[in-house]
Amino acid sequence: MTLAKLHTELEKGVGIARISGEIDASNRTEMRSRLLDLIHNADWGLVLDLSALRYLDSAGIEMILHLAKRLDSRQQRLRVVAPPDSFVADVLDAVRLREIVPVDEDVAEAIGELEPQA
Amino acid sequence: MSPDQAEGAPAADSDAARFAAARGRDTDQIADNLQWVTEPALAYLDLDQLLSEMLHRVTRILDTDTSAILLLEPDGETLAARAAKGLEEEVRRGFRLPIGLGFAGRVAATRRPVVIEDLDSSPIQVVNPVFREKGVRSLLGVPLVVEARLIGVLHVGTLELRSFDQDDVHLLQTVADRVALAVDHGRLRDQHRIAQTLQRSLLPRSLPALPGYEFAGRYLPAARESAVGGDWYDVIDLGANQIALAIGDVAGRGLVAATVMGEIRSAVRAYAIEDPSPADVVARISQFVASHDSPMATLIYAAMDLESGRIRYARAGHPYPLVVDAQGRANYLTDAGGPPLSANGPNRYGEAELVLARDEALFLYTDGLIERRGRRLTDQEELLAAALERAPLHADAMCTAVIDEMTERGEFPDDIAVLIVRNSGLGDRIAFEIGTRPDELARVRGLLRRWLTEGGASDGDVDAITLGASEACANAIEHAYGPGDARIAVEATRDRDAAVIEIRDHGRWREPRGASRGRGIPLMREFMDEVDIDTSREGTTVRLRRRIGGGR
Repeated sequence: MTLAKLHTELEKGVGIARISGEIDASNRTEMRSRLLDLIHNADWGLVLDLSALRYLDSAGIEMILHLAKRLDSRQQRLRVVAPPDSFVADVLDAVRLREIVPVDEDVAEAIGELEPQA
Repeated sequence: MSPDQAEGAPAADSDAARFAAARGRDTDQIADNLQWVTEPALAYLDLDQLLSEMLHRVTRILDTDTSAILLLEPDGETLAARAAKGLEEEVRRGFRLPIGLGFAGRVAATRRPVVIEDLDSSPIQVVNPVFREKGVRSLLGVPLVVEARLIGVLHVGTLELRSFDQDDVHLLQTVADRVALAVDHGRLRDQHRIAQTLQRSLLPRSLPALPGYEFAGRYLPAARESAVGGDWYDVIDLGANQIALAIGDVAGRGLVAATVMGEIRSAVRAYAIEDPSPADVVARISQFVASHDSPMATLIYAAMDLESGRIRYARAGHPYPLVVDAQGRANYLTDAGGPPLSANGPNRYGEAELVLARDEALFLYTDGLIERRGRRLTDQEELLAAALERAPLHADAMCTAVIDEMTERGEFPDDIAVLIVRNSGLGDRIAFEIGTRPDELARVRGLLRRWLTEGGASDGDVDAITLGASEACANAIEHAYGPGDARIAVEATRDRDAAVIEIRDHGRWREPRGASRGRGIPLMREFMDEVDIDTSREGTTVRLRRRIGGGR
């Protein structure tokens, strides 16, 4: 049984990855490689939707930073979605992730930021 | 011997008397002989010994040189030599012939005695080369029949020419009937043993030991010896604090039921690991049963989250499960029902959900527990609920008490399976060990969340303490010596208004490697009120403390 579930879709050239469940040291590598597969099909970048994620710790943070680096090297961008006041947002704030990767409150906002400006 | 003696023989021995009159032998001797081939004590021999002994005796009584037993193969069309005297090669060579062909084939085809006075001039084409090799001249064969089913042929033969008469035929047929019964019983016994072994091997050898839960399972075979049922249950550890519970019953008895039960059990295990919903699992098993042309079967499949006690379940034609609440009240779960698994079953099943709160038990069983001839099912269901309400709360004691009461201490016509899971709660303190595989971290979090929730901690406290402990365990796993056998001890206690978690390993923490571990300790400090890391030669102890109810 898997600890986390990943749902992916492509919208307007943006990859959207919605992760539910928990990310820790046991599944971060598998999750990372599935997310890297997704960015190959995206044009502008990736929205990592963590609204339904129940648990995230330093292993998950490392995964996000690794993704950000890879996207950067492909001239793509990463945006993370975490509802304010959620546990996941608390963890992101505790490691000051916003200083490296932008965090949005919802998916629509994140997609809007990634789409090429008209 | 004289006719007087024959007439004076007891009526029950009339077979012996007629036989004796014809053969000119002593009646008492013949009566003994008949007794000799039908002796009940022979039933204790295994089948091969029994057949050999019967041939030995029949050869002596009928004064023949050869004797042999051929049994009908499962294909229903071929006879195969199973035992022989004087014709041992027949068995050794694995002699087989189709019904209708040759001497034995003709006995089988006509199901009547067949006499060959002289093999050399017989119109019956004899197939078996061993007859010629041995120089057999005369033959008498009779069918082995049980309840109008042909199961084989018994024949005797002589090297000298001999005219077998009606009395010979009669005696041989008497022996044949005895042999047929013994063979049939022997086969049933073998089948029963195989079915029983199969059935037992398919039940879990032990149920999982999971903190805060009690499991109890029982399988009781019905008293009748020749009938193993298709009742089964299973508990599957799916990891990540998820388990699956299953109980089922396959219609019919014996080897077929046990085999189908094994197939369904394997299929349930395979589908469970893929993690679809219980309704999906049951629907897929239904399709599986339909595609395998299996007998009808019933099933309850339940997926349980150990952390929250949430159970989702689906039911296919199986008796209603019960929940016994903390006050000991028993209630039937009558929803999420669907028809039994079968070829014309639906491809969708309903699903229902419940939370097994602390001190509550889920009680699953097969119909053998309640169904009694001449009693209404609803009355029996009431009896079961009442028995549960009187039973002790502990799962194992509950199981024993309810079965005792429902079976009136030993009387039940059908097999019974029972499976209980009870949320016994974690208590004030938990202590457990984990290995050094990263997938143990989810188990730590699951247990701590449950312990903290039981203790009244807020969601914020639960999340924070869980994170601190999981990070500390991840560190211990990373620093454990070598692969495999290292253990990490976790203990959670309350200290006034705070939760204290202690994680002890036997490794030594090195300087943080990589960005991840570099962030782990600051995260721990951020979410806990106190973090003490004590490294000694024996290992490292991390002590985490956070006040509960103080907000973030």
